[in-house]
Amino acid sequence: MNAIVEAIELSKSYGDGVKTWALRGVDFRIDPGEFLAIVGASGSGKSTLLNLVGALDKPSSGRICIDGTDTSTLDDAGLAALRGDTIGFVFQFHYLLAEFTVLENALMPLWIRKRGTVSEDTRWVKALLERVGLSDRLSSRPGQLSGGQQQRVAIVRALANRPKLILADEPTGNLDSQNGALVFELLTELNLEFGTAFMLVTHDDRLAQKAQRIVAMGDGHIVADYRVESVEQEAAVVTGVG
Amino acid sequence: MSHGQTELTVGAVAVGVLLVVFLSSLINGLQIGLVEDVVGSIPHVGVEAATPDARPLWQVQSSSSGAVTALEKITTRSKRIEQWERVRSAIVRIPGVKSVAPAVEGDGLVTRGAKTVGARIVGVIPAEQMRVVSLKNRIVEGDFSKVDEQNIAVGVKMADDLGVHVGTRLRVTSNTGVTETFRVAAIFDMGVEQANESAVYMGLQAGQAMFKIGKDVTNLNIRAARMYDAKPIADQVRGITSLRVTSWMESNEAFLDTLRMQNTAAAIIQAMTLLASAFGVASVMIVFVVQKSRDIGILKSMGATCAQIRRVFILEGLGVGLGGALIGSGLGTGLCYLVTNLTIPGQMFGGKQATIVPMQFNMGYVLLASGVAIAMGLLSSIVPAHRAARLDPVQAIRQG
Repeated sequence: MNAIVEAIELSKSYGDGVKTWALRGVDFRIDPGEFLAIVGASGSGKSTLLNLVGALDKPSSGRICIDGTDTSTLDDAGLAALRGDTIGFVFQFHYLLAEFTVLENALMPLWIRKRGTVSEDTRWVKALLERVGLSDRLSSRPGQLSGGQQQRVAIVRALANRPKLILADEPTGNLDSQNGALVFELLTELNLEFGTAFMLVTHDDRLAQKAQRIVAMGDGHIVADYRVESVEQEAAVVTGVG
Repeated sequence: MSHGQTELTVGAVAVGVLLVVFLSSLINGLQIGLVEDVVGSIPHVGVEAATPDARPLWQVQSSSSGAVTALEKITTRSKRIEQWERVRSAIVRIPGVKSVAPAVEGDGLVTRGAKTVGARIVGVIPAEQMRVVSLKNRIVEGDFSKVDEQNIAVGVKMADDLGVHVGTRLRVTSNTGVTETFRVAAIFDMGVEQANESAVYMGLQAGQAMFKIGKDVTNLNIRAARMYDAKPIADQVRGITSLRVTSWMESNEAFLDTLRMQNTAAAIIQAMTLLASAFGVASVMIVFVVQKSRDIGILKSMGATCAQIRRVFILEGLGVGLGGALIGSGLGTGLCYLVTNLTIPGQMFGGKQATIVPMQFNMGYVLLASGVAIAMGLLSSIVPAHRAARLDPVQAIRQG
């Protein structure tokens, strides 16, 4: 199976004089349909890795291939196309555009990439909004929604272009635990329904434990990379539920 | 842009355009009034028989019997344009020449009873003269077209000095000693003191008789289709004749310089106004880019290219320019219209209701100012657009 993301010896430093290394030679791979959580302390390199995988930033050294394309070979338009067609982003804050309605915000990636939407796209986005329980808020402005609702719109927006990978940076970080759990649950459901790979950065270990795979980072390295599925299955076997 | 910002920038451009349209119309109107006063009553180009240079007496003596009479004879003989019809038909063929009228000019005296004043006697064909100088609105009393071999026209000042009206008889004596009696047919006000005080218009043949020059004339007066073509036309006339040629532009050099300085000053003020608006638009847009940098970062994460982001801001600038141009030229035109119709009650000028400010509205200025405003909107959006396009999405999303 071809990897969605394949990073080889990926490094990233900041600063011109004294260099701060945020990533120190990371080898890393994401397969289609995977749901993985990246955990680690602040400054461990989680967000840097996420930005590099999202082609928002360029590595200082090493190589990163997304959906089979080496990002170093792409120009601005090529990177933009890659972001627009292959990747969806969900941030800690919803970052919806205040001047546009819920439906317009969700359609934005399609407008950007295709310069105009066909009715099929609109139907798809409406179906997604209905799927997340917002079919009655299509013409509301983001400011009129609750935090959980705003984040659900942001998730629909990330899915609008049918990307192969969704990158989520603390997607529940700004929500209370109940709403956070609901949003997380939605992400796992969408992962199963559409087969979209999810790469999730989180501080919340309890949420991370619900992912298929956990990648722990520390000081610019991957310190642990394991699958939770088997642990849960083992637990199920032990308790005799499965 | 947010509502306040859009209105602010469009307003800045609109004020710039409004000022340019209004100032142009005002200055143009004032200048047309001024130029009309100065140039309206004189021909655009004057051609006159050259006065011969003074000659040493021995040369004159050798040529004829008596020195004094010989000198006089030569002078009077020389100051005329012989075969003037041929000269005229050559001048008429010069491109830009609208009409040419012959005239006989010379000095003399006008007497009524015991009062005598100095006069500049001008013999003209009235219909032709009226085609080379603007006499419309300048006739205070009577009818200039009635001027002929028995009827003359005099200036308001002379009429006042001599106490004459239309119908009064006057004696006119030329410097060659010919005296005739004429009836006043018209009284004019040329707006020039000298002309009002001494000019006396009579028929061409009467003038020729006064100065004893047969069928010849002393002057050919030229009207150009466009008054600022007077100088090149004068140069061309010089090329075909050795007569003395003067254009109004050459004889009113100082006046023209004043006009040019006025135009330059006006252009500088207008350029400054537009520049100030441009800076205003650019600074509001730069602030806007800073305010919206997170949104720009988000759009980039969704696949927006640098070119797309740049285009959004350039279009924004174009929209601001267009909006400002439309509103500004609308308001400017309206203001010009309002001011043009501000009249002084009961006061007439040139047969029309007198206006407080003479405005000359010109659609060309509106188009020019609008074009500049649109270009300005575009130009002032280039720096902000470039900044927006260059934003690092990671930084923009994190810090925006």
